Amino acid sequence: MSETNGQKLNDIIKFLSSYLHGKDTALRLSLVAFFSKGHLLIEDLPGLGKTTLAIAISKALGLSFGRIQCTSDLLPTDITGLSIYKKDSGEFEFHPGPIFNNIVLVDEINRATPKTQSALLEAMGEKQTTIEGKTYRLSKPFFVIATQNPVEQFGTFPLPESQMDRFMMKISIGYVSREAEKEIISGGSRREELYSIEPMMSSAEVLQIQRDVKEKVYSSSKIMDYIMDIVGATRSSKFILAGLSTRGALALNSTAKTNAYFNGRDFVIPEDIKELAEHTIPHRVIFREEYDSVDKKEIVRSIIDQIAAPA
Amino acid sequence: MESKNLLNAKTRLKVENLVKGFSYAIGVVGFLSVARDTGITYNLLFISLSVFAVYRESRLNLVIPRWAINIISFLLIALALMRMTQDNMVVPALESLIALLGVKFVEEKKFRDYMQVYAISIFLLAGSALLSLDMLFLTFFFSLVFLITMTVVLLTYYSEDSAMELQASTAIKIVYRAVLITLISIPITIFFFIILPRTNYPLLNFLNRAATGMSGFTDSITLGEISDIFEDNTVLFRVKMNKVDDKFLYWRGIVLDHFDGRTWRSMGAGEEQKLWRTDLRGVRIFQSVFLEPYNNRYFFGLDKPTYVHYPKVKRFDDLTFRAPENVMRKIKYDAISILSDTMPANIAEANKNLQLPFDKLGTLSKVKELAGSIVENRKGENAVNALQHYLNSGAFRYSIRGMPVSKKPLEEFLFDRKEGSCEYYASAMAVMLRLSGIPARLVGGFRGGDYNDIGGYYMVPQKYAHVWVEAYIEGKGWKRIEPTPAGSGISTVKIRKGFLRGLQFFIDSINYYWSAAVINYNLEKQINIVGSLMKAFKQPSLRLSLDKGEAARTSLLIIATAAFAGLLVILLKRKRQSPEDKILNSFLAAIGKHGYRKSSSEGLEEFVAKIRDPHIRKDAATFVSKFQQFYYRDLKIGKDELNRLADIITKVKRRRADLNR
Repeated sequence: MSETNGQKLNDIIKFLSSYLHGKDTALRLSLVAFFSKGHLLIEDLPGLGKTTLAIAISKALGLSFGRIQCTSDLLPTDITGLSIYKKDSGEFEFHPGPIFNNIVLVDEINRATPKTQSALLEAMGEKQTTIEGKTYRLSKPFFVIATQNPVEQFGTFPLPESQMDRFMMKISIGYVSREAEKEIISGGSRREELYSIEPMMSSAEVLQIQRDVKEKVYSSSKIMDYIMDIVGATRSSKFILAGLSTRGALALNSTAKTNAYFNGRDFVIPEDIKELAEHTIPHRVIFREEYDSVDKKEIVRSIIDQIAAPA
Repeated sequence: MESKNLLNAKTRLKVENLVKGFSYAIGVVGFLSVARDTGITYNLLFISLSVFAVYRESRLNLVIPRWAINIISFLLIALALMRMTQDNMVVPALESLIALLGVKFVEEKKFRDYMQVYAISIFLLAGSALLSLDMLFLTFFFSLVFLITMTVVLLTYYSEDSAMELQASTAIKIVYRAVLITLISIPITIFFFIILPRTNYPLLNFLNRAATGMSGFTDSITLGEISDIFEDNTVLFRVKMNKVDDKFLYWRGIVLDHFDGRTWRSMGAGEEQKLWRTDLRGVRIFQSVFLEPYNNRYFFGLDKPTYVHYPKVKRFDDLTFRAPENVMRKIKYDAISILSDTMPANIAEANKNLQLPFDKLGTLSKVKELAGSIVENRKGENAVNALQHYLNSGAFRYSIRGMPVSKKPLEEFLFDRKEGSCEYYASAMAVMLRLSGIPARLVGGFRGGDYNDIGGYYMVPQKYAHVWVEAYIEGKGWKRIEPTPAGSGISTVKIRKGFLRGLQFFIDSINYYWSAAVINYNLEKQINIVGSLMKAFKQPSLRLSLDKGEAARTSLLIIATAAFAGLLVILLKRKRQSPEDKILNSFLAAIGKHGYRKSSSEGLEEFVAKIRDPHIRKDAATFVSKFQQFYYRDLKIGKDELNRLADIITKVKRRRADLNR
């Protein structure tokens, strides 16, 4: 069963690639984060197709899509929604915000004020939101893709390290290859077409896969030990001030399970963890200031290369 | 076929033939280990069955029905049970085992039949240990370990595929492994030999009471019964001691004081002695005696033994010592002797040794007349000397052939034939002394010994058995008298000279060390080893300076212990490796031989993806994907799967061979 579903996921990736030239890796990683029930942070320059990616995922999986463009005057209620007084009935009526969608793209999250950010992050963590004393459950599945611009620093509120931990993975899309870019230019943007594609999966199926990943993929004690070794290494590394949290360890495990599922296995192998380490670890740990200029992914890779894989 | 072909690595050998050949070899080794003790009938039966089995296998196409085999086996076992007595259990059991083995040979053999052959062979070897435990046992033991290890490996191949053929190189590898296992088993055997707790008495001795016991030494001497004595060359005991002059080599065993006209017996050995004798004067000699099993209980010591150290030893006034029961296995005891030919004694006690048989044939009066004419008016020591001179003077000849078989042996010896063995001389002497009113008695034991310079000990064979006389001389006590003409007692022994003698002594030395170190290794020695080790640890520097030999021995022991500990750790570590880890390691080793090494941080798939050679990569990927199914699911790999994985490893190894070609 996992074989066929894993295959199906790969089919989706293949299909969407035709719309997202040269973004296979990003797409795959996004789906891993999604099926691990986590959220995704994309750190990239504008105009590289983040929105297209989010739309593509939501459409292919048959999920609803909402978008929040963050500015410094964005209010929490702009995200969560609010109750408006109805003159006819004389009652307050709740108008849900964009967060009540399955897939929410939060553009340039570091432009929003900390107050707004925390409202969003609470929703991400708890999968529910409290408005005017009333708690609303968010839709299932719930997946946030937040983006931030690494270059533009003026007038931004960078996410605090503790909040970064709430994102399961942080990826960047990067420039696409010359060939792919040429194709994009010649064919024009196909975003419009994306809106009309038929969903390849029902939301029930999506939820089922999420459950399967969690319950049916086996992570052996050897793998657990491997994860604990990694966690321990980040905590004791000379490059790192604060190592992985327990939540980080959980994220390593659940993303690895999803990765295994994608590869048609129902058990985790060390490669599942290693492949994703560059995306699951750097944003969760605090590097020492003196290594600020060094590529963070490189440091993580060097740490992992010191750890004996089980086998 | 040329013999060269045998060495060719590409020669293919049929596993079936190998298994058959080695199985016969195993059976024969088991048979040889007991063949010395089992009856000739059974030995011949076994040999003829084996020959028939080989013939049947190679020429005849005859299958003997299993029911017939079963009935024969059953009958053999029943026969063995019937022949068993409480005193004799081992030999009948071994004999029927031999017969069973022969029957097994004849049978059409399957896996379990081969295993039965091995089991019977091991039983035979174990049984042989109950009969005799000499160095040969070790030889049989290690040959069996080696052969069985190797053959069981081959047998598993055979049971998988009866038509399987092996390359000679593979077969050699199996042989090599079996040798290795045997070699490893040696230090382990020694280790367990040293540490396993021992009893001071063998537990299984009750099984073979009558199995030993032919002897030149007896506890009674009967004259006129046999005309020829056959010289028995087997060594009865060995004595570790310094070399002494030949004239002192009287090994005291028993004192015979009662004569009924034909037979001397030991009646009044005296009370069990309470105190150690302190009235003897002479050179003290310390001896360690290694006594072979013989059907009696007397301990031998250089004349006069004053002290024998052995559990529950019984000591008597006449300086004889006895074991609590008959000696049925090799034993070792320590003895202290004082070299003296006299032994103070109480006259009242001595006077008990004037007993003479009831003279119903009228022989003794004639002897008394003779004694009177020899002694004349002499008294005491002079009378003794006169009688000794009479027998030694040349009128009498020493002989162990054609001795008088008679109702009146003594008379015949003294007056007619004038030749005989030491028993006749001693009897005549003692009787004449008693007739002259001088207390006298016979002492049985051994005279002489071959000193083995290599081992530093005397060998005393059965043929040196001897009887001499002790006469009581007032004021002096018991004096040893040698009535047998000088030198004759031992001059019958033609000592082999030169190389053969050297070889004989050398082999005997090995046997001696074997029994000194192995057979007599007991609880006491274990405690000693522990004790000396502890002492050595307590004050090592002091000991080192004091005794170089001891220091060397101690350090050797410590090194050996450390080596064993190391070996044990390695073995345990190896054992802790699960089959999964083992097969993974052998996989990595196989791939490693192609130059691909997995770094410890690499995952398996990652590693495999890096292999350049597409064939090896394909094999490796197959292995990894199969292996991971179990390994990362925390599942045990089943036997079949392990085999399949091992096949892939072999395939990977073969690829190397292909490349080399």
